[in-house]
Amino acid sequence: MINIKISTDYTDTPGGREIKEGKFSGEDFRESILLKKYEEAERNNDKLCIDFDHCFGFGTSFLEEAFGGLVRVYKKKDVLDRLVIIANEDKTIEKNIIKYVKAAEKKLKKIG
Amino acid sequence: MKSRKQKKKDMHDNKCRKGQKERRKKKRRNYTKSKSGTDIVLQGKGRIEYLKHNFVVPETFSIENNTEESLKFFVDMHEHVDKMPKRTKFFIDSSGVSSVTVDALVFLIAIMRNTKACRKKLFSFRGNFPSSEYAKRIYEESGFRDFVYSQMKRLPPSNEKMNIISGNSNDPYSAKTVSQFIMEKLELERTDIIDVQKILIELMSNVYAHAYKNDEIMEPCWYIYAEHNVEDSVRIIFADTGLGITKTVRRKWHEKILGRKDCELLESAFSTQEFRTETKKKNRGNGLPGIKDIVLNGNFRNFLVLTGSGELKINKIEKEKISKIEHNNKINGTLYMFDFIKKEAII
Repeated sequence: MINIKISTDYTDTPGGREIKEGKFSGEDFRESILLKKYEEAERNNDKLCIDFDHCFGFGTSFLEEAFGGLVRVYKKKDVLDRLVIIANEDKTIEKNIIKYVKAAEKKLKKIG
Repeated sequence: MKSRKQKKKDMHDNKCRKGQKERRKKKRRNYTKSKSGTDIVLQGKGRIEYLKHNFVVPETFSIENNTEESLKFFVDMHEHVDKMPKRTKFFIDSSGVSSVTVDALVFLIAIMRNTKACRKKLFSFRGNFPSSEYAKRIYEESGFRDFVYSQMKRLPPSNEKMNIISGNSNDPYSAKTVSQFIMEKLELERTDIIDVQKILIELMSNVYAHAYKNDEIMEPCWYIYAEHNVEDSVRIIFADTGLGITKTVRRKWHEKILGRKDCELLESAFSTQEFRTETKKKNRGNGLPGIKDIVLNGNFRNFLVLTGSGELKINKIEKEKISKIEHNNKINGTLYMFDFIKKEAII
């Protein structure tokens, strides 16, 4: 299993949506860490485990841009099947990621 | 007997004195006062004189406790800043202030720092502190002095108040500073204040996402202030000089919302239906309804949003959880104010 522990591998203070908005944005996280690890997991046919604990809190725009963006920008399929989410401190994180990935997949299907 | 040389000198001196007197008289005639008595126009010839304007700050300077008068003061400021000529010197007279809250101070700083016209027209602002010791202390302890130049001796900082901080990008470190202040004052763990961090990040994101329009009168910027007033609660004030929620909604929905009040649009923006602020990109629009959910499910009390002329209150312990008020005067930007309470303090 490939692991990402956000508090140590990235930051304990995640920010907003886009890189131009400021530091530690969802877009920056996706581009600098998430995508590489996700593609590594794809190549090895492995799971990607992401640990959200020990951080100060994730805004919805960060989560949407990082995970919804995997589908929307990079057209990744079956994202939820590959992810293992650890978020013991904030139970809404997993629910939100599922919601955003599904919404992005739905939209992608519509466009064809 | 005076010599010829002396006589010539006296004649020259008299002539100079006479000329000086006349020039002084002429200059006095060129001072005009406007009807309101606050505009003083200097029309002296030969050198550039500038318009001066006095703003008298209301006695109770508080958006929370004296909303209409304080908003009227800001509207008046905006109007004058808009119409005054280049290099006008403004004087902000706070001497009569007897009661003040930081929400109003934040907007006063914002108008001086972030109104585009101030920079373009090279305006300068001067002012004084309140005569009342109580009000002066609030000016001092809020960190107001960090945004203005003053030679007066500073009072020691208060441990119960966090100085006003500001920025124009989504800055999670600033949000963390507020979170750590709450952790320290309420003796909480990091996991207890995750909701505050989430709200602050969303609010900062909104300043950026909805604010960068060139025709706006203010430059987008946010201000945060926190104070530990009542036991087991911390008050947080977040103000931004962005487009404002209601203006964003009006731009998006145009004629569909003609005749709707600002407070109705504000309520709609925080709900999950009807008129929302989401940008043109379809993956957006989780922010404000998400904040409402966090407030209703978390340890928050007295959540207030004021933008345009609309005010919205979200309070989970009251019978009517969401209430709205329409004011007569408008604010440029948005003000959020809420109390974060310790879990045990919730009734």
